[in-house]
Amino acid sequence: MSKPLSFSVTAVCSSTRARVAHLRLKQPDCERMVDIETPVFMPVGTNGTMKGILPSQVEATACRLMLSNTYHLASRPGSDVVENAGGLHKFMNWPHALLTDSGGFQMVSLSKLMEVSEDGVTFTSPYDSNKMLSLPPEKATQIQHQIGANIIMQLDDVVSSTANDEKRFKEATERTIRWYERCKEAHKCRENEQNLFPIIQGGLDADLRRKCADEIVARDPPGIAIGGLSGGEEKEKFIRMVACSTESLPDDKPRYLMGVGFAVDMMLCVALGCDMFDCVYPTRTARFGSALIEYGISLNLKSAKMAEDFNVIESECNCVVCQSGYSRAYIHHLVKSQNTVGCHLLTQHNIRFQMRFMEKIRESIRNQEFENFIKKTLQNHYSTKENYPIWVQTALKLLNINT
Amino acid sequence: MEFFIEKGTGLPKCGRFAKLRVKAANESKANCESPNVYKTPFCLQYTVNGMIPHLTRELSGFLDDDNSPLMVPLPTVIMMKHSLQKFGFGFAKFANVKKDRPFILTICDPLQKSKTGFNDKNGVTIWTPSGRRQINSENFLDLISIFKPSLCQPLCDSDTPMDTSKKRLRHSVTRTLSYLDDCASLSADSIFGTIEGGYDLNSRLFSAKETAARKVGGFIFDGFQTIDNENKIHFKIEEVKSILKEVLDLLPEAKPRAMFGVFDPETVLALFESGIDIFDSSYAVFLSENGRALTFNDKIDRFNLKYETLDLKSVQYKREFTVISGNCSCYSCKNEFTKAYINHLLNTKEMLAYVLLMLHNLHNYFEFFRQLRLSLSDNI
Repeated sequence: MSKPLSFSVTAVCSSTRARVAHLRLKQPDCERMVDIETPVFMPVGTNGTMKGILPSQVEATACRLMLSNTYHLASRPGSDVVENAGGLHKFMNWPHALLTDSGGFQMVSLSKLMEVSEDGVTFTSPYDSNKMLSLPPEKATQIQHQIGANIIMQLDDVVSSTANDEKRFKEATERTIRWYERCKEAHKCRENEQNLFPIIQGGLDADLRRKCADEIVARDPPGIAIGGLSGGEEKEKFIRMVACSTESLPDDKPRYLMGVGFAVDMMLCVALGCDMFDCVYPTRTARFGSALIEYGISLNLKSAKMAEDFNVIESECNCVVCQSGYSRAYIHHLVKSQNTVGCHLLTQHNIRFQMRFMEKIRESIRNQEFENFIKKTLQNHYSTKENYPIWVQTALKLLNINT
Repeated sequence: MEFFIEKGTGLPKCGRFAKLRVKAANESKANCESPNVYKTPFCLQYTVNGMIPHLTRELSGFLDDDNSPLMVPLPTVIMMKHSLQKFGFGFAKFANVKKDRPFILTICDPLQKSKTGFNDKNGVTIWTPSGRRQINSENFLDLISIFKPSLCQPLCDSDTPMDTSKKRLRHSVTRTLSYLDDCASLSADSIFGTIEGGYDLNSRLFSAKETAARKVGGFIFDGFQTIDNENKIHFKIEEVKSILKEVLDLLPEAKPRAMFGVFDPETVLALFESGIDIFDSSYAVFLSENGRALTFNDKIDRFNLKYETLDLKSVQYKREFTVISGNCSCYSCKNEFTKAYINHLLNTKEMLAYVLLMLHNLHNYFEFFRQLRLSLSDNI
C-alpha cells in the first residue's frame, strides 16, 4: 500500500533556504496519486466550490491542490452530508487534492461566543445563537475524516497574533502540542488514507516558536504547518517568526505557511524555506474587481481609465481569459455592472497568476536564479531600494541578500 | 435578414415553420460572410452586458444553442457607448462575441423590473445600473452606428402595464411609429418594427396596421409582460392569444414575428400556435436565478407537454446525490453535479449554483425549441 504522502526535494537554492520538491498525495480510499510541485499556492474554495469556477476551470489553471474550510462545510451542508456524498472530492467533483483546515480559526473569527478550555473549543452555532457547540480535538479530526481531504489540520488553540498576553500565548502553544497528540490518536484509524498536519504556534515569541517546533518535529508528522501568523501583526515580526519557525524544521517534510498569499510575501517566505501557501486574497480581490499582473501588482479594473484600455489583462499571461482576448475595457464594464461573469473571469486569471508566479519561483530556484528573481520582483513592486518596506529589508538581511 | 415560410401557414393550431437568414455583421455589402440560417420557431440567446448570465464564453461553448443570435438589451450595454466609440469596431468584437454570431440590439429587456411613467415626448427612458437615461431617435441612430448590430429594435415606448389609460396607449403607439419613421436611414432588412397597444385590441390593430405599412424586416410584440418589484411576472396569455388572433391578419405572412418575455414552455407553445416565430431565453435565466431546474419527461412531446421546475433550494434535496435529470445531456448532469451539491451551493449563495443551473436550464429550453421544430416533420 502506498503512503498517503511522499515528499522529495528535487532542487535546493544555493543562496537561500528555498527548495523545489515533489509532493505526492494519495487520494483517500483509493490508490490514485496526485502529483504536486512545491513551492505551491493553494486557492481557497471555502464552501467546497471555487467562487463560481467549475472544477474543470480550476484544473485549467494548473491547480492540483485546493483548500476548503471545515467550519463552513460542517455548518452547511454538514460533514455527514459530505460523507454520505462519498467525501468532498466526489461531492464537488474535484479529481485532484484537497486540504481542510480544522475550523479553529473560523471559530475565533466568526463566532460571537467562544470559549477555549483544555477539553476543546465551545462556541455558538452560526445558525442558532441559542445553541452551543463544543469541539474537542478528537471531534475536529473526525469531522475532517468525514469530509475526507488529503491533508487535514490539527485543532489548534488560536490566539490573535495582535493580542498582548504572554501567558496566554504560552498556554495556547503548549495546549496546541497536547491537542496535536489527541488529534493524532484520533487519526490513527485514517493515517493510511489522509495526512494530519500539526501546527506550530508561539505567537510572536521566537523562543516559544522554536520550542513548539522541536516538540512537534519529535512526533514525526507527515508535514508541518506554521500558524498563528498573518493575522494583522506587524510585518517585521511576522517575517522574523517565519524565519525562526522554519529554522528548526527537517528538510524532508513539507512546510505549510498558513494564510499567506501576496506575491512578495510568498516569495520571501519561500526563500525562508516554506513550501505551501494559502490565502483568500487572489480570489477575493478578483471579486472586488482587481487583477494580479506582472510580479504581483494589482490592477483595478474598476478604474475609469480601464474603460478605454483595449489590451488583455496581461499579454504574457496564458490563462484562458487573456488567451481568449477579453479586453480590460470590456471586463471593466462587466465589473462595474456587477456582472458575475466579470468575477469569474478575474478569478480564473488570478488563480492562474498565482500558479504562474509559483512556476516562475520554482524555475528560478532550479536554475539557481532565485536571488535575481527576488530582486526583480522587489523592483517591480517598489521601483527603488529606498522604497523597500522595513520588513522586506529585514527579510533580505536574514537571507544575506545584498540589493 | 430574410425569411422563408416552409410549412404550417393557415392551418389551425399549428403555428408556422420557417427559415430566417441573418448575417452576423451589418458592415458593408463587400462582407461576403455566409449568412446564418435559423429554423423557426427559435429562441434568441438572452444576454446581460453581452454575456449569457453567469457563463463565460468558454462555458457557453458547452451549450447546444444552434449559434442562435444573441439578444443584447440596450439597458445592459448603453454604458459601454464611450468605450465602443473609442474602440471603433462595434459591439460584437468588443464583447468578444464569436465572429459568425449575429446579435440583435433591443430596447426591451424581458428581465428588467418594470417602472412606469418615465417616457415622454422627449424620448424613451432606459434604466441602467447607474440610473435612468432618456434617449431620442438621434441618440438611438448614433448608438446603432457605434454598436453595429446585425439586427435591431428601433426605439419604442412599451410602458403599457395592464391598467394603462387610452391616452397613454395612444402616445405609446404613435411615438413608437414616429421613432420607427426616424430610422428610415437604416436598412429595412435589419429592423424589427415594434407593435404596441398594451392589452387593448383596437390600439394593437392600429399599431399593427401602421407598422406593417412601413419598411421593416419583421415585427416585435412588446408591452405585454411586466415584472413587479417582488419579481412577479404579469402576463395574460389568454388575452394575448385573442389579440394575436386578430392582429396577425394585418401582418404580411412573409415576415418574422417576435415576442420576448419570461415564457414557460407551455406559454411558448401557445404563442407559437398563435403565430409567433421568435422568442428569447430569459425564462431559463429567471428560473436559474430563482434556484429552479427545468425538467421534461423522457421525450419532449409538443402534443403532450410534460415538464416541471424543481426548487433546488428545498431541504428535500439536501441528500439527493443524483443529477437533476437522469436522461439530460447538459454539462451539469453529464458531469454528475448532484441535486444535493446544487442545494448546498444555493444555501451558501455560491455563484457556481447559477453556473450549473444555467447550463442545465438553457440546454433544456433550447432542446424544447429543437423538439418543437422537429415535430414539424413528425406531425404535419
